[in-house]
Amino acid sequence: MKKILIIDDESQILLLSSNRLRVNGYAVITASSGEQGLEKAKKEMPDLILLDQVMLGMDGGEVLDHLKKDPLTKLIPVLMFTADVKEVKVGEAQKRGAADCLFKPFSSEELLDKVKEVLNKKP
Amino acid sequence: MTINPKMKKRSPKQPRSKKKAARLRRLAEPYGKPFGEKQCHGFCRLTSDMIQVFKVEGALLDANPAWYQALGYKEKDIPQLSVFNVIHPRDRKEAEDVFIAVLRDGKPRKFQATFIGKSGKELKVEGAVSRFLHQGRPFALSGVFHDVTRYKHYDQLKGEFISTVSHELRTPLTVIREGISQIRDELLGPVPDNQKAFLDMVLQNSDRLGRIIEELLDVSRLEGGQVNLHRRRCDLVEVAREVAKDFKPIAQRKKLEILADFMPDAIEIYIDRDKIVQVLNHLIHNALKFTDKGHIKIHLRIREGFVECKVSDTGKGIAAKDLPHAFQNFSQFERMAGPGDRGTGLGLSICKKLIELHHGRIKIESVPSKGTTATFLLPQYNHREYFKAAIREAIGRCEGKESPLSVIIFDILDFEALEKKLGVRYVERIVLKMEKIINEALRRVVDVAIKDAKAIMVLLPETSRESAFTALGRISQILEDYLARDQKTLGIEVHGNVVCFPQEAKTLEEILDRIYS
Repeated sequence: MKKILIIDDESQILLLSSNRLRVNGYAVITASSGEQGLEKAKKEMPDLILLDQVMLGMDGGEVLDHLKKDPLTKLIPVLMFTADVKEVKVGEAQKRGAADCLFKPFSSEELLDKVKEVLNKKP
Repeated sequence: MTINPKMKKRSPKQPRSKKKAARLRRLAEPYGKPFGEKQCHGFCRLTSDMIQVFKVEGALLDANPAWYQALGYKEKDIPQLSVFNVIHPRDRKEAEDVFIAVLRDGKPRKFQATFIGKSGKELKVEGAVSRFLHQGRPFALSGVFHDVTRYKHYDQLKGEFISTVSHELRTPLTVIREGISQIRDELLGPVPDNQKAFLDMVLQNSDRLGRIIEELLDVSRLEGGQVNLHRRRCDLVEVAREVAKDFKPIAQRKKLEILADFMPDAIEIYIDRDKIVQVLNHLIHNALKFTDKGHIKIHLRIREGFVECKVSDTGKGIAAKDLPHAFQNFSQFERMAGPGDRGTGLGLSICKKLIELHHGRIKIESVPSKGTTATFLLPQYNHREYFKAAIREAIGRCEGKESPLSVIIFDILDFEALEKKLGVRYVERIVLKMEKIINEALRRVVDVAIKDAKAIMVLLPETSRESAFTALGRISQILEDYLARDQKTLGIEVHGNVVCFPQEAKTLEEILDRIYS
């Protein structure tokens, strides 16, 4: 079973997406802040990290930088959530090492498709 | 207000009756100088519009009190001033183009710009520029402008408000939609059918609300001028075919036919493909929605410099009284009550703005109970115009950003000899293919490769000379690999060079000169 870590400071989104992913056969761990997310990433070594771009405290971009700098976590693919205008942010996030982006508001189908796609891309 | 047209005719060549002239002089004198000496007098001194008169190359000749007051200059500053000192650097190129055009054909033209006062204060203005003749030859230009800073500011506030509200609505809407959808999909336990029907109703409406939010955001971005087109050359016939294909299943369900009437079978055009697809999607969707029997027809033609696209249906039509409001935000009419396929009333307004952004036009005609036809026209460019437009967009993207625009030019060596050897059509196909290969190799959405007759230009906004040379090396290798793969193309040699804006060329004309020299 693939393990997915979701990092988002909106507890309701966290609850809903983890529920949806669990039902579809993934093991899900959640973190409600960037700091907690980094800790859990190192401890649990998930197959995929879902990361919200806009968070209080350490934001998604910073978390991504830390993940990509650490040799332990740098190979874990990261899927970013963003509410921003598409094209600009995709390029930026991917330059910083994200595997892909999801645009808010996204449907559960989009989430599941993207998760599957990114997990399959992994060498 | 435009400058009093009668004034232009008052050149010394046209004598008027002495009595009339004296009367006019008396009228003008209390407000300033007599006729003949200065161009700004009489009514010009009274108006709150800013008026400036300037020589063709830019030197200011005269201005009215409203102009001095708005910009903070004194009359004695005039001899040292050029009209370009007053216009924001961002608008100078456009100003130049407008002035030259007015000078050439004498037709007054509307002009929007930001003016800069003596103290550096910025003023958004709108107005018109017209031409003065002296002894039959263009002598000076006059501009009449009014200050629209306040209105622009309100517009901006409105735009920001809509976009903030829309962003804030997205997250709660995501939670509502996903929460209901998980209950509906029985993720939390079994749900009886009658409850499912209610949940479906909630889902449909939250989707509709989501669409309204997205479209409101589109409208506010379009109205706020925040939408940049990423124009590419593409084949409109192919685009239309693809969009029509997506609608086949819906049409079949309603037992409607989608007919295609395309002439010729390929129409090359310079557009932001995604945006035009959005327009076509909306027009075809509308046509299907309001048609119960008959067909939907998509028609493409070339008409004197324009490409014409018509989407017509045999549906219920729009009442004559409603037609003039078709492009207004939130206008919906003849809608059937009940759930299901409900629109937002923003689609046509978005279409109009997208088409206008492409310098095109859109209109709707309708005969009640016979059908509706939506027609849009998009300008057709030749290679040179296409390249000019692309360069202008690229320069715009770089301005205010400290970083230059680099242009790589790939020249095809011994072009004429190649054409003789391989045939004109064959060489044209290869150049087109190379343009495609380069476009595929480019990494950012803002980069674009455009073919001219015997060269391919690559525009790289916000790219330094060094980075442009790195890109040149990479693309050259890809081109060489392509040319080496085919026996016939073996004789073709390509030479690449880089021109950097603004270091090596300051204006659009200079860039073009550098490129075509």
